[in-house]
Amino acid sequence: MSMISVKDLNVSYPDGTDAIKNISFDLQDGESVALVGANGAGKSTLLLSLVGVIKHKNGTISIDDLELSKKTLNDFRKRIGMVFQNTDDQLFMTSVMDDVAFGPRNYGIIETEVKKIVDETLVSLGIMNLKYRMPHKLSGGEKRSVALACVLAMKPSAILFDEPSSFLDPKARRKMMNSLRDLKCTKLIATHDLDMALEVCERTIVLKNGEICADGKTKDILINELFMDECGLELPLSYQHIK
Amino acid sequence: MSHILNYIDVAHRCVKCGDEMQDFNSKISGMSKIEELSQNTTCIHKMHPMSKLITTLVYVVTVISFNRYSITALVPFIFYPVILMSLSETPYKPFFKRLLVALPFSAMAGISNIIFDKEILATIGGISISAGVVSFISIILKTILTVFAVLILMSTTKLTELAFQLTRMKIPSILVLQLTMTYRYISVLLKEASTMFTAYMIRSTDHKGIKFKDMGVFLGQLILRSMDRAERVYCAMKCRGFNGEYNRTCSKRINLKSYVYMIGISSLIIIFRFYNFSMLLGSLWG
Amino acid sequence: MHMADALLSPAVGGVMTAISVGTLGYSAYKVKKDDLDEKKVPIMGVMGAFVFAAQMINFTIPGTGSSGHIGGGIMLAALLGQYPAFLTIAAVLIIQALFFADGGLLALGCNIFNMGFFSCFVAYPLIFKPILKKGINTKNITIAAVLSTIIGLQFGAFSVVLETLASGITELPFKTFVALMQPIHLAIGLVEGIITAAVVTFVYKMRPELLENSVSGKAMRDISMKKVLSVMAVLVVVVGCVLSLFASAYPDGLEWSMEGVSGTAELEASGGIYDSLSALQEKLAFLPDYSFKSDEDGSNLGTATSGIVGAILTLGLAGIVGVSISAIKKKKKDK
Repeated sequence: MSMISVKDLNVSYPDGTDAIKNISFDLQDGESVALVGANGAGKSTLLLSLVGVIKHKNGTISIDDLELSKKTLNDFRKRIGMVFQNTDDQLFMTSVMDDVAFGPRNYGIIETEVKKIVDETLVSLGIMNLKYRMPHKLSGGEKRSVALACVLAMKPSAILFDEPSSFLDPKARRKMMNSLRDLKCTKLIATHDLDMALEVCERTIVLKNGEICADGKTKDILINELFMDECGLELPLSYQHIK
Repeated sequence: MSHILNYIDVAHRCVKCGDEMQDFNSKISGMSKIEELSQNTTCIHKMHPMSKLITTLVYVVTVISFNRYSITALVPFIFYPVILMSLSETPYKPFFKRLLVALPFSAMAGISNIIFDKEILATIGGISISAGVVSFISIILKTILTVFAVLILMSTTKLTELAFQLTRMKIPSILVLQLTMTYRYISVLLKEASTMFTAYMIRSTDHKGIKFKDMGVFLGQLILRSMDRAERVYCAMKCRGFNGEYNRTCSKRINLKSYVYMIGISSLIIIFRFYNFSMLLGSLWG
Repeated sequence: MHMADALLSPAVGGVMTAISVGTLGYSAYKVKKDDLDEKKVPIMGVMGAFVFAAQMINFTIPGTGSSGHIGGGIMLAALLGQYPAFLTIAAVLIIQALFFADGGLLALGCNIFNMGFFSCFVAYPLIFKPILKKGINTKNITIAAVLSTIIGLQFGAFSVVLETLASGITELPFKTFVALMQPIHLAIGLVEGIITAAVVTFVYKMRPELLENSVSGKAMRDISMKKVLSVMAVLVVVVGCVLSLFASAYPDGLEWSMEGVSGTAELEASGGIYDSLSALQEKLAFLPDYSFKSDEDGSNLGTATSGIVGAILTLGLAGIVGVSISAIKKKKKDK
């Protein structure tokens, strides 16, 4: 039984041009899927449509048979979380604890329960030491971890990632990749970091001009030099030196 | 040769930029210093934020309730900042820096007192002291005391905690949330403004600041970026269920120690208002 | 234009705080009523941070070679609407007062009123909006921005004068104070107005909908210039009257201003509010003065000397206490 189902999705930019054209795909429970494509291919737009931030023109988006609509928006967002590219946009409280607790509190969970959830989440990511720190004082890697914690605290079934390895130094990037691999939920990861996609995701969807031009095993797709070139990409760096 | 001169010129501008950047950084470092201090865990830091807020307010109101010729009665009020700063291990230097900013304005207003109030009040050791000088000193003293009181409050209490107390006082959460968000995004916006500023200065001919004619575009760009950021923050908030209300329950209960602190110090402050401690001490001496 | 606590009296501070708190509450209520209130929260937060950043940017004023920085009231009101703008300015002032000692704690009430109220609730709705209603273009934006900034600042500066005089801490005579404050803020207002015009024009060119949204709204009937001026005049008189009731030290200065404004040398208010307020003042006067000026003869110098000696002793005592506490703490830590 599929987890996330997208059928004939159409999304337009504010000026009317098509951003996403008739996209359909399914994400199975627990899958790690990379979403790659050149700049302007529509990756971020797709992600934002999946969480209902950008309204889609037509088509359906459903998670476990719950279809995304104005009425189901709140429910939907409990099940799908999103980690944004710019962590400063996502950490808007004055303490890490408050940021992580933001989601659960909004959904009316009682405070004692919220405290437990915050502690559990921070421990699971190994960042309990950041609990009382101020988000704007953290390093890039720490911010990313906290942003992930904020989403995990809502106990979603699926998480969307927009460029999770951007702005990270090598060690922080490695830590992020490890965290991604350890996450059990369904993951859709939009990224330019093709090497990370190779390591973390079994499946890859390639977007070009708002359409899916490939959907299959990561190893098969990313190794195809000609194809990658056509889509405005290139081989992952770890494959390039093999030539 | 012109090649080399070009490089020297750019390098020179970068150094100048560095100076300008220092300016931005120094302005934010003052705030950072107080933020850092508020993370300490001395006995004063552990007091309930409400009791510290109320005590500070009582102190400030009492200090400014003295009339303009009070000096000797004000001096005992120096115990408050001195004792609290020692107990909370707060350094004096950053506070004096802040004081240097606040003093000039009070001093300027006070100088008018020296000019206009020439009535001689007392002659001590051959020097006649005019009422204007007395009120000038009084203003300076009041400024020092009130500035220190507020800075001590902020260096022993986190803004988050303080803001939360405001919600308990039934101030709408929309105001409090907005206050904390402003605070939170200051460093981000400053960084952005600083980067834009550097980019501008590297390509400008004079080094005094943004040219007047470019202010519109510069600030306009910064505004648009801020509005875009606000959009994204809003998205992030909605994705985590934000519905306009910020619900938060109390993390700290007010304890007996804090009550004692608040009532004890407030009483002392009020006692000092009615009984001139300096005079008492002086009369014992004499 | 930030007022400090030291130049304020508790009475004036208290009144202005009450007024500001009331206005803040009303603004919050108005923002909540608006359907988009939850969207306004991050906007107000981030724009507050923007004002902070913008105030740190120095620009060079042509011709003078000196530098200055902007305030932002009209800019905010134009782009966010008057109620969110007022809340944003208040947040900025609160943080400035708490972390930078830029303006006192009790003086916040005065500062929020002086710098927020007049730009958001007087200059913006009565000058800026009506001019732009006639059509949004560069010329109108410039006139609207410059005019409203200047007038907003003039009112604000005048309030500072009244609040300071009513507090009775400084000796500056009314005439001198006004002669200092108003022209300076006229110049500041002109500069800031021009910059505001440039910024708003730029934003309008890039994102016209931002300006159109906030300028539209409830249709305002054509407001005549006469009406605007008379509203302002009434405001000046009201503010002046209320604050003059607390003035104890400046009968001369304020009499002069009263004469100039209301045509009578003495405020002939009787009954009701005036009586209860003066009764309140009498009650407050029981607070001991400890001033050097004493009505009693003779004992003046004697009290003064023991007071001074006592003060010096107190300072010494405070220093000893402070050093001892720090020493004890250090010992505890070393253990």
